[in-house]
Amino acid sequence: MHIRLAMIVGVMFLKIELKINGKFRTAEVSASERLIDVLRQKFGLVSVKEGCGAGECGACTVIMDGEAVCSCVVPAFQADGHDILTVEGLEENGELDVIQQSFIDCDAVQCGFCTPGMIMSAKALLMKNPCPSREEIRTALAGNICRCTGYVQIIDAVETTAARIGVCRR
Amino acid sequence: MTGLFAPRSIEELLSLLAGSGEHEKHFIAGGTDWLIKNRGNISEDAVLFDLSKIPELRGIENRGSYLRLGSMETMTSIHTDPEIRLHAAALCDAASSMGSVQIRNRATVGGNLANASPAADTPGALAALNASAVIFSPSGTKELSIEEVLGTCPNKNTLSDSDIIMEFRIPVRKSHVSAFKKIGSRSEVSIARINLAVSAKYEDGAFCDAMVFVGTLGTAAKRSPEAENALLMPISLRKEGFKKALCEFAGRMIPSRSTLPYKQSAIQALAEDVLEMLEARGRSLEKSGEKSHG
Repeated sequence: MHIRLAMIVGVMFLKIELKINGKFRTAEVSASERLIDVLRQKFGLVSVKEGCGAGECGACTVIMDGEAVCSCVVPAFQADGHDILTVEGLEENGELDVIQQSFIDCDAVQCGFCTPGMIMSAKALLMKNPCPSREEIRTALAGNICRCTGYVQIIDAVETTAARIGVCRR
Repeated sequence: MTGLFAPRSIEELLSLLAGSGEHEKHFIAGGTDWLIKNRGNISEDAVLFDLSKIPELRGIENRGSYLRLGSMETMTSIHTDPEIRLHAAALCDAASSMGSVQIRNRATVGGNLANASPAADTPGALAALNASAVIFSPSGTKELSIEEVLGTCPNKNTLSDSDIIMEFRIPVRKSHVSAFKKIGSRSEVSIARINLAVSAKYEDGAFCDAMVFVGTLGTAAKRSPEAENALLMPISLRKEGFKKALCEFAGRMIPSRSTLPYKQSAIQALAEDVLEMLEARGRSLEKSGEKSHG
C-alpha cells in the first residue's frame, strides 16, 4: 500500500512531488490548497494570476503534462507526480520564448493581468498544433478573458508565433 | 481530523473505505466543481479520497456490444476519442461544448454526473444514449441508469457515501444516430440555460426507438416521452410536432418558474438544430453504409 500522509495539528497534509519548470520539487499541501496556491506562495511563481478563482477567467492557466489547466481549480494534492510549466519556465538562456516576443511585437499586452494565462493557453495549443487556424486559436483562448479587450492583437500574436516557429506555410 | 488519501487501486480504496467508518467522505475526481464548493469549509472530521490515481477508473474501449467509459476520463479525452465520436456522438457533442479547454482538460464524466448540477451537459447525453453507470461500493457493484443516479433532487445524487461511479456502459447500437446541443449566455464557456440530447434509430429518413432528454428542467436529464413520440411522426409533420412536444414538456416540468417563457422559446430553437444534426448524421450513416451508432 502506497500512501504518504502526515498529520499536523488536526489537519492532514500530503507531501507531493512534482516537476515545476523542469525542476523536481516537493511540497506539503493541505486538503483545501490549490495548485495556484502552491505555485505562487510556496515557489514564488507570481506570473500565475488569480482572477475569478472559479475556473472561468483563465488568468491562472498553467500547462500540466502538456495540457492547459486552470490552476485555481486543480487541487494541489492532484498535482503530485505531474509536470507543470508556467511563464517563468519559458525563457531560455536569457532569451524570451518566441511566443513572449510575439506578444510584445504584436502589442498583445495592455494591463498585462491576463497575459500569462493567455500565453500558456496559446503555448499548449501550439505544442499540439503548431499551425492553428484563427478559429482554432479562438477556441483555445475561449477560456481566457481579457478585460482590456485586446483579443485581435492576442490572436495576431499567436498566429505570428506559429509563423515564426516555421512549421506553418500560409 | 481531516484525512486525505490517494489510493492507487480500487483494492486500496476499498480497504481505506473500510477503515474510514462513519466519517463524512468526499471523493475527488477532476476537482473543478469540488474545489469551488468545498474549499475553506471542509469539515474537520471529513475523509477525502483522491480518485485521480486509480487506473481502474480510466479508459475508453469498445467491448463489442457496448463502449466502456472509465468515470475519470476527461471531457477532452472523450470528445477526441474516435470510438465515442462514432458510437456516441451526443456525448462527443456534450463533452466538446462543456466549459473551456482548461476545464475540459480536468473535468471528468463521472464527476459531472456525481455533482448532479441540473445544468450539467454529459448526464443528458449519456441518458439519451441509454448508458448505465456501474457503481462500486464495499458491498459489491451494481448497474444503475443515469436517471436513477440523478434522482429527483437538483445538485444531489442518489448514491450512498461509499458508492463510487466506476464506469459507464454505452450500448453500441446499429443504425442509431445521436446529437446534443445547449443554449447558454454566450457561444463558448457557457453554463447551459437549457440543453437537449437525443438518440434514435434512423432508417430511410424516419426515426424510431427515440430517447429524448432535456437538461435544466429540475435535474440534468428529464426524459420527454411526448418528444420521443413526436419523432415518430411522418417527416412532413415531424419538425413542428417535435418542437411543440418539447415546448409542452417544459411547461409540464417547470409550470411556475419565471424562466419558462425563455426556456420554451429556446427549446424550440434547440429542437430544430438537434433534428437537423440527427438527419445529417443519419444521411451520412446511410451513405457510408456504416450501420453503427454515429
